[in-house]
Amino acid sequence: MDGFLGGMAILGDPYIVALIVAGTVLGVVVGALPGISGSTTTALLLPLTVTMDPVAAISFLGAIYCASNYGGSIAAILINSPGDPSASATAFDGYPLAAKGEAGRALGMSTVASTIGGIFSVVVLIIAAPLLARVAYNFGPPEYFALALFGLSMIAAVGTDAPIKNLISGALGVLIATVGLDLTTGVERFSFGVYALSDGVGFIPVLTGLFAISELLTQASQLNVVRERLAIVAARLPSRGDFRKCAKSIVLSSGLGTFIGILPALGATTAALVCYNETKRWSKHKEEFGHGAIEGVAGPEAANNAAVGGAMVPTLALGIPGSTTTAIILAGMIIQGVRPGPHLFNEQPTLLYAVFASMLAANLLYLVMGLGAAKLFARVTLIPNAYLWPAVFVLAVIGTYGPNQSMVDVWTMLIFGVVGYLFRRHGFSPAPLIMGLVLGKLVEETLKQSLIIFDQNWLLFFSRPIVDVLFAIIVLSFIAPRAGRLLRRQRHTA
Amino acid sequence: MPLLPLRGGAATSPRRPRVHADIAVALAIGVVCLAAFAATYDFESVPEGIAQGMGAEAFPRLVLLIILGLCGLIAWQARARPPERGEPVPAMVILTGLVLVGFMIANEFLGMLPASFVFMIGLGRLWGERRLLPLVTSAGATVFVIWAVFVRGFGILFPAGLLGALWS
Repeated sequence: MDGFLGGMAILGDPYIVALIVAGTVLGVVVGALPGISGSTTTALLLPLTVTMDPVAAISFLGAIYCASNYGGSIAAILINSPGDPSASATAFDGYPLAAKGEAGRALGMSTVASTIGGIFSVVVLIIAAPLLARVAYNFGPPEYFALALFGLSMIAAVGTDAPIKNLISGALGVLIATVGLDLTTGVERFSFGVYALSDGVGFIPVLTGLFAISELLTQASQLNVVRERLAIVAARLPSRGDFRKCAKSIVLSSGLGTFIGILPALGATTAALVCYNETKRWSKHKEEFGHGAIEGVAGPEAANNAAVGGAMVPTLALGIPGSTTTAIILAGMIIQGVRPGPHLFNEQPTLLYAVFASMLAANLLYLVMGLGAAKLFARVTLIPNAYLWPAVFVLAVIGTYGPNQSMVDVWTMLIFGVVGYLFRRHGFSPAPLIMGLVLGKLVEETLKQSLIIFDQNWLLFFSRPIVDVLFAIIVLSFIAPRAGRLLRRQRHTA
Repeated sequence: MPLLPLRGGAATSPRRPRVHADIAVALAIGVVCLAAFAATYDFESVPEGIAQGMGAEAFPRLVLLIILGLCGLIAWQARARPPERGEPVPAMVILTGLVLVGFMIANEFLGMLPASFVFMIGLGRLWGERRLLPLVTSAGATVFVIWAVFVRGFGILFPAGLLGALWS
């Protein structure tokens, strides 16, 4: 209780409140810019948090994470180009609604549904994270190894539709995490005599390169794309009729979105797409979907914001990222010297409750901002690429150079930018690489510790029930989809 | 030689590839992994007394073998698919990449903030903005904000470059 009150007390600190407001405004504004996703925003602004204390840094990042998901819907509704991939499902009905002259209605519903979904998931986070942490409190290295492996196996579901490419991307991330000094033996690995690589490859250059620089190069190939822009209007509070029509989809999507968010590696985009389909399936007005159904805006918006709180549950309770953005937040916490996991709930409860408080505050803030100033935020979608992206690059360089004041970091960022661009061209997603990079050290450390405990007999992994269950889920997650396909094919031929 | 259009879009190439693009990608990753695998033999050896269980090279090798296996799987899956010609990298992407490298070189001579100013104008022009005044104003404003926040606010020292060194 003391931790809870201590965490909530941060809302009385003007410095933290100013950071939460700044994080929310930046999240909404940058989230609304087409091409700059929540992950890119968080990666770009992560260097700023290096100078902050952990509570301030986490509050700032939490606010950005919540707000950028909402901001994505503004561009999806007004220019049919989601500011964040998680808002892609919102565009299916948001843009047709706006094209009919009802942009204000769509923006208003998106704001309210986002807030309801977001607050619901933060409440679930407040209840579920400590419970999950209590379960995980007695986990030893073998259980953590299995858990990290489970997180990595879920990588197959992230990003593109190609599971093997996702796994390669994730494994490359794990490999990059091995660069630098091996803590057990003190041997340098893959540093090739470069002193700056002795401490390993920094998170910030890799994150900024993979997200911001690769997106800049992608944008360079799309300069001919002309986006139709609809008139920018103010958001309107949804009518009672709209509320009645959307209540079921908001409740359903808030619950389902939170659940999908909790599953490691499945983030807001999956939640929004699944919930769009579910909203359509349970709707009495299926024929309206795709032509401007207000439920088609409410469902995915409630879901993608609900997934935000959900994704923070495994991130904080187990140290396993629930989504790409939480992987970046996890990296931010590691940079701050904080390793999330069950022990954090006993050792630094104030920090955790500060995360909850900042996320709750951010959800309420963007409700006010969205309804009051959506028209203003929407103006950022008018910024031409020729002004926006050069400034993004300069910010990326400054942000990457700043923490260590090292040009090696800037070159690393550029190299990973090119790698990210080539990845995207060939159907590899950079998101699993980030997951692998963040989890890589945990996998290696826990594997080595487990083998020491087991006296190098790896078969003893199977003597631990939790490990057995997690291994079984990993195997099932690979076999089940293929078995299902095989069964369907057999039934089809029979 | 494929024709590369300057502003996005695909180009036509007279040659048809012999293998599916995934096989070429798997091969490229495979070669990098084999080189990394070879590099693990250069890791310093540790006395038996210090090394407990897995050596420093064991985990990277395990990961590399997994990647090589997955690359093999991609190539095997793609073997039956007809080769398809991927779009060449648009010229604008290559030019943008060169401008980014140009920024890094300019940084050595001009220093980071002046190089940023020049870079923003240069990339803006390359990306189609013809009006110089708004470009100069926006680049100037951005550099001023960066100077105010990072140099004055956070006390970060950016590389001054050769020009800055001469100036001081």
